[in-house]
Amino acid sequence: MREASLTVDRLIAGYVKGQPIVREVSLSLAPAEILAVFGPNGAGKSTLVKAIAGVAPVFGGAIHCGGSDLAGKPAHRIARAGIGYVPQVKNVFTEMSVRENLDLAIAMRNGRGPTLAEIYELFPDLQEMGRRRAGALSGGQRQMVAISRALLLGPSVLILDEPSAGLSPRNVDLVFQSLRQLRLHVPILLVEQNVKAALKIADRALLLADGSVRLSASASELLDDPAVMETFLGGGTK
Amino acid sequence: MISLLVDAVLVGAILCLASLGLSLAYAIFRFPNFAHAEFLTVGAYGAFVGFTAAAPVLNEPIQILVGAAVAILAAALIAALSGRIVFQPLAARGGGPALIIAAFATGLLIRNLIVFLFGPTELYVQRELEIAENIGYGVRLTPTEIGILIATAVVIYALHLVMSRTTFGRCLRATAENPDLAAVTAIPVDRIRLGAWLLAGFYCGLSGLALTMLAPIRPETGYEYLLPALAAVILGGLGSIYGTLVGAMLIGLAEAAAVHYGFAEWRQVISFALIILILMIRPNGLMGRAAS
Repeated sequence: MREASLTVDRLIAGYVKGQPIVREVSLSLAPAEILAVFGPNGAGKSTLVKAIAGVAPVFGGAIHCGGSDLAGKPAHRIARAGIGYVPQVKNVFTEMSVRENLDLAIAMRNGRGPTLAEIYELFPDLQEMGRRRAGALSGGQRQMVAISRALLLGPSVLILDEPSAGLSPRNVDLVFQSLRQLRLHVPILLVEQNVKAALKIADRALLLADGSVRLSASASELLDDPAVMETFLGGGTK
Repeated sequence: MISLLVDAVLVGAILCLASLGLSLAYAIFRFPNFAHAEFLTVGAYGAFVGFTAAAPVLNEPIQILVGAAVAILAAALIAALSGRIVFQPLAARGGGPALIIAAFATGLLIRNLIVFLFGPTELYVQRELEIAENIGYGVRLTPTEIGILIATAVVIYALHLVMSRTTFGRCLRATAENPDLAAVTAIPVDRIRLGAWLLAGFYCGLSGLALTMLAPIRPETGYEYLLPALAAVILGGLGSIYGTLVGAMLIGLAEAAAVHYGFAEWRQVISFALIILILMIRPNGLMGRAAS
């Protein structure tokens, strides 16, 4: 069995001590794998990934990405340890130009990462919008900048929180297409409401409800089983 | 007319130095730091101590440099200590009204400490009498005023370079806009915030030096500049460094015009009427953006 790129062990997290939103969640992410996380609103999906990235308080458990336990460490240390995180909203520095957003990630990375030329290969449109203010971009363009910013840090794992939220169908396709390419370079933990689209590119999926893992299965199993889709993902099967 | 503009630039320059630290602190922590007034006062007293200590052994230009060094060190130290001990821990717990009250309390504490150490009376540096010289077009300025204008232009341009060209400047802008996103971009947010306090202190030190060179100083010296400095920051657009520069210059122009046309005692009224007028047209200030 391949060694996991990211291991989360019995993670407890939330915003108020004694009232955890994420309750003893464990997961692991293998190299070149996409693990999709689903669940109804309020299930704790975003809190889970925020806690892994270091921007939500952790009350217990362990997070390993490479070396030591990262649980509860400051977010900048977690980013330097190899966890790249793209928040659902406010995911670019709107007052800076696109190029400044990207240059900042290059300046802050710890060791090696992709070159700008490699990023432009993945997202060709970015090259032409380098001088535009990131705040003036469309939702899809912002998502490209946000993913590129995270990639330029040279992560060992990429975490995306609902990258298709608020995007037009064409932009959703573009984002998922880029994720297919990205998985060859970096494993992805993907929180997504667009269940069917996510299952098509994911290897495995976790269903989260009330902060706990309720189901863990391969993506193809879930896609092929209408009963499971209806029972567990009912309203989310777009 | 040119003389009026030069007066406006001089008033605006001092106000600009006094306001920049306030604007930086607002950009990073999103609260009006009323203790900023006392950071200015600490800068002024630091300049006084440095200048006076160097007086017996050094000539005046070197005394001014020593005064500047002590002013900057003292103001940066007090700003960084206040930030680390009082403001950052409170901001981490949600900030809000507690931060504003803490800023008032910190300011009062520092002001009383100054009274305890230096007494409540005015102090002034012993300098040779300066004569304003005609520099052309009927404009008369003293060497100190010329020095303040040049130094202000240099440090403002330096700030522009720091903010736009250096990694620290970009990290500062990133932290100001979105601290969580900055942190997941591997920016050590706490260290950048400390850097912001030191930078705010640097400008308070320079501003304090300018105040000490121009007039006697008192424990209330900084407090007297708080309102115009806040006005410059609000007028320019809260948290906008370039807006603060424009705001300070506009207030300088309004005050200089009031004095020039014989309404000296109305100068603050005219300045604040101008602010109200501009804010009615642009509620986020001249260079501020509406919160999205």
